[in-house]
Amino acid sequence: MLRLPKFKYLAPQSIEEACSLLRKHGGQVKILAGGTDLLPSMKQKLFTPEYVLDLKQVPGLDKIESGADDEMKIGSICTLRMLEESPVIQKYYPALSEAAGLVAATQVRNMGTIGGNIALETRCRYFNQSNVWRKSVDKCIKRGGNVCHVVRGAKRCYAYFAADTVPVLLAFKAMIRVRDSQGERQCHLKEMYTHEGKNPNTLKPTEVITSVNIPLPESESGSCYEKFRIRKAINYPSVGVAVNVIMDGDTCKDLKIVLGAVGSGPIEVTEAEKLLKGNRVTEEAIEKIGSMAQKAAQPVENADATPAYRRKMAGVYAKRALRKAISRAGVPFHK
Amino acid sequence: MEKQVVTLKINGEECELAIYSHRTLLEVIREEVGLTGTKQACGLGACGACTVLVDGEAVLACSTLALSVQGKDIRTVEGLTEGKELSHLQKAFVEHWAIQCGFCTPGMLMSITGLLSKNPHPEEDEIKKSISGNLCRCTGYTKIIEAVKSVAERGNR
Repeated sequence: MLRLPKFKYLAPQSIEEACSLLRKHGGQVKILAGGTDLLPSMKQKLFTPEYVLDLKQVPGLDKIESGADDEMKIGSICTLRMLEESPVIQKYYPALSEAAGLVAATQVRNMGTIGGNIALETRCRYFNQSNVWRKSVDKCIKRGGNVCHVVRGAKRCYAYFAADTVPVLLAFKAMIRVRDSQGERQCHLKEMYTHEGKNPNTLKPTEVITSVNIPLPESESGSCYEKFRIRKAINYPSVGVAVNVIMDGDTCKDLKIVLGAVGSGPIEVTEAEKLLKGNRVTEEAIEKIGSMAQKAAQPVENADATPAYRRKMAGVYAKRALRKAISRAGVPFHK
Repeated sequence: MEKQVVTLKINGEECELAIYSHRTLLEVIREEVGLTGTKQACGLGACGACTVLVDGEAVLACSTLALSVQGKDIRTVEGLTEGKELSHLQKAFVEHWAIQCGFCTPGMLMSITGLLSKNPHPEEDEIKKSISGNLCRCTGYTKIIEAVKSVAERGNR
C-alpha cells in the first residue's frame, strides 16, 4: 500500500479560521482542496508538510454566482465537475466548461477544484516520480537542488504549466481574489504567474484563493479550449489552447489566445491578438495566427510528445480553437 | 501521533474507527473495515481501481483522506449486492464476459453505478466517458461497455 507521510490535519470551519491557521503555521501547511494533486505528490514524498489544511470544510467557497458588479464569481472550492455541468458556464463561457470537462477523468473532476487547478503544481518527468526513482538522480532545481535534468545548464526550473482551466480564465481576463489574515486582495489572474517552474505562482503560504471572477461576456463573443494529450482521458495537457474572441460582424473587436503546457507559465500570444484586433477575420490571418502560436510555444523535453511536435500542435490547435470560437460568437448575454 | 475517533458511514452502516490523520479512505476501507473489494493499483489517482461512491459521486479513495469524508454516504463494491444476490449490473458483467482478471472490476462497477444513478439510459459515448478514468489491461473495454449497454437498455441499476 502506497502511504502518505504523517501530518496533522486541520479542518477550519470558517475562512477566518483558515487564514489564522495559515498565519500561525506559516510555511508548514499545505492546503488540501480536492487532493488529486497534493495527496499523490505527498505519497511520492515530493511534499512533506507538517500540517494539511482541509479547505472543503469552509462554507461559502463553492458557489457560482453572477454578481452585481458585472462579473461571474466562481468560488475557489467549486469542483471541476460543477463548472463542466453548470448551464450558465456552458452557455456563456463554453471554453471554461470544456476545459474543466477535459481535466483528467470523472472521478478527479468530482473531487478537484478550480482553486486547485489555478494553484496547480508545475510538472516534469524528472520531478513527478517516486522517492526511490528520484534518489537515483541528482536533486533537481524544483526539489531544491541546482541541476536541471531537462535543460542542460539551466539557470531556472523548466517544469511545465499543467493546468487546463487557467489559459481559459486568462482568455476571459479573469480576476482572482486571495485572502489572508490581513484581508482580501484582488488582482488580474495573469499577475499570479511567474513563468518559472519551481515557484510557478505568487501565492504566499499564508494565503487562500477565495474566488475567481470573470467579466460578463459581451454579445458576439465566442470561446473555445482545445487540449492535445496522448490519451483521450486522464492525462495532463501536452498542449492547451484557449481562445476568446469578441466579434462585430466579421470584424474581430478583441482577441485573446493563451497557450498552456508549453512553458512554465501560461503564454499569451499577444502578436496574434494585435494582428486580428480591429481587423476582418480572413483565412490568411488565421493561418498567420497558427504560426505565431507555434513560435510562442516553448516546450522542453519533460512531458509526453517531443517538443517539436508540441510546438507544431500549438499552431494546429490554435487555429482549431480560433475557428470554433469565432463560429460560437453571437450568444448575447441576458442578465 | 494521536489517532482520532471518527464515524464513517459505509454501505449504510455506521463504522466507529480510531485512525491517524494521514490515512486515506482506501486504507481505512481495506485495512480497518476489512472491505477488500476496493483495490489499489497505481495509488496515485491515475487508474481508477480505487473508485468508490461518496454521496453518489465517483471519487478516488486512494486520494481522499478518511477524515475528510465524515458524515458522508460512502458506497463500495460490497454494497452493490442485494443480500446474496448480485445486482443487475454485476450479473451483466458476468454474462457479457466483462471480467478477466477482475482487478479493475470494482472500480468500473462503482463508476458505472454513479453514472446509472443519474442517467439510467446512457448513450454509448456517455458510458465511455463515465469509465474514462478506469483503466483495464485485460478486456479492451468492449465487453464492459456491452454489459453496461444491456443494463442501460433495461433501465436497471
